[in-house]
Amino acid sequence: MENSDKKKININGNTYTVIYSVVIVVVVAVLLTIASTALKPAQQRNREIEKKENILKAVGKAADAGNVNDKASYIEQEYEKYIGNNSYVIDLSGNKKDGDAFKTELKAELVKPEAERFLPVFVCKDGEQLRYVLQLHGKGLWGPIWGYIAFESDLHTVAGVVFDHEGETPGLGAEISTEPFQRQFEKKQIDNESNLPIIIQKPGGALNNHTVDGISGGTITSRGVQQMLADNLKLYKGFIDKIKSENENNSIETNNKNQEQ
Amino acid sequence: MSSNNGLKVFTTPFNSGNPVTVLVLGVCSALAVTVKLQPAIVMAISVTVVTGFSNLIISFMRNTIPNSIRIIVQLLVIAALVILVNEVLKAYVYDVSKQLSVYVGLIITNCILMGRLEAFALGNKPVPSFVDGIANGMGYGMILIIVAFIRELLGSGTLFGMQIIPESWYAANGGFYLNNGLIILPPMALIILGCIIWVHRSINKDLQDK
Repeated sequence: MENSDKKKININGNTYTVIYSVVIVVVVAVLLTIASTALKPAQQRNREIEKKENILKAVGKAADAGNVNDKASYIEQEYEKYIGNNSYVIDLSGNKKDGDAFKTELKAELVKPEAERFLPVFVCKDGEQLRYVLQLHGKGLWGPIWGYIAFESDLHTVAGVVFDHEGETPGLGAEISTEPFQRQFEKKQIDNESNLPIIIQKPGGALNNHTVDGISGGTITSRGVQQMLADNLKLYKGFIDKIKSENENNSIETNNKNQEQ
Repeated sequence: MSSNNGLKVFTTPFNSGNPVTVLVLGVCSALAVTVKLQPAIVMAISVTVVTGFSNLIISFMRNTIPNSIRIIVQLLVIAALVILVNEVLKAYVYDVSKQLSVYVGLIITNCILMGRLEAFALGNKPVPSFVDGIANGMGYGMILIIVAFIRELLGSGTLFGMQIIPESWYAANGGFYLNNGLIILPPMALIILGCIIWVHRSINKDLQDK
């Protein structure tokens, strides 16, 4: 026994301690790198599916996402069917630019100088019906909030919205990501006269075309949503005006044609 | 360690050695992730995996760890396991990992882990250490699930996201019932936890202070 004890390395010596810590750190680092590299594709795919689901939900598609077994491939299919490659980026005056709308993140664009900002637009084609989905990003009470707003082809009537948040209070501000809150926005109209295109007001008051009920107990988050809509739609104004005037020209042309006939 | 037989190691954390109600460890996450049952269960499983394997690994290494960097080595093992769990959750149960957000990362600071490593894994063989870790994780998870059950039922009227309280009871549909918004907030979780500790101590007289 005594012999073997003497041959043992002194585990409390400095050399041993240093070598021990170096070895264990390297082993852990290698392990984590392998795990992170191996799992990255799956994580990336999850993020893409989530984004596609949000875009589709804004236009009222992918309603069965909660009930299907293979949610990922269901979302992929729906996205291909309604949107596919029908997305582009625009600059602030509404001109199309080169770029991948799906990879453009509004959050990153908002910190760039105005002239270099590109905004994503997704076009949903359901038969003859065209709908435009625009991205939103703003501030809630505790952290960022974001989402998508979908317009009918007149770019004036809201087809649907999707909001999500990072850390709003559950049961209060977090209610913005629930269906009952988001449903209210359907068929509302953008108020061009006011600074706030859609007003989120104290629940219980009379509602009109431009107002929806806020969340009691979630006033600051509600205001955040209202401000997010105002700020982001201002950025998209160039695009909205352009599509509107194109729509008008088209209808004038068809009118003229009809008259000629 | 004379009390080292397998069964006792396994059962203590569920009763007289429960990490949450007796040792009052891991309370922060017990408040944060118990609004709904599903995230609470995922959190319970994650913590159980981390306590089990960190106990196992540290117990294997216990005779080689230099005393002066003992705590650092323990933390390194815990941190590595937690990051692994977090990456796996992100890859395979993305929705839940979004709900748990930072709390998975915060398992690293959960005192149950360091407590079990120091108190048990450093002085015991790997198998009992593994059992001790798993049992402590499950003892923690048990409390989490009880709290989440009460909070989801009373706060949202659902269990696992499925409506339990009939829709027609709600005031909005002409009924008499309203979800209790207070239950959803963290302070109420603390009160529920206090009630559980109270019930536990009145059943198990050994735990009462004389």
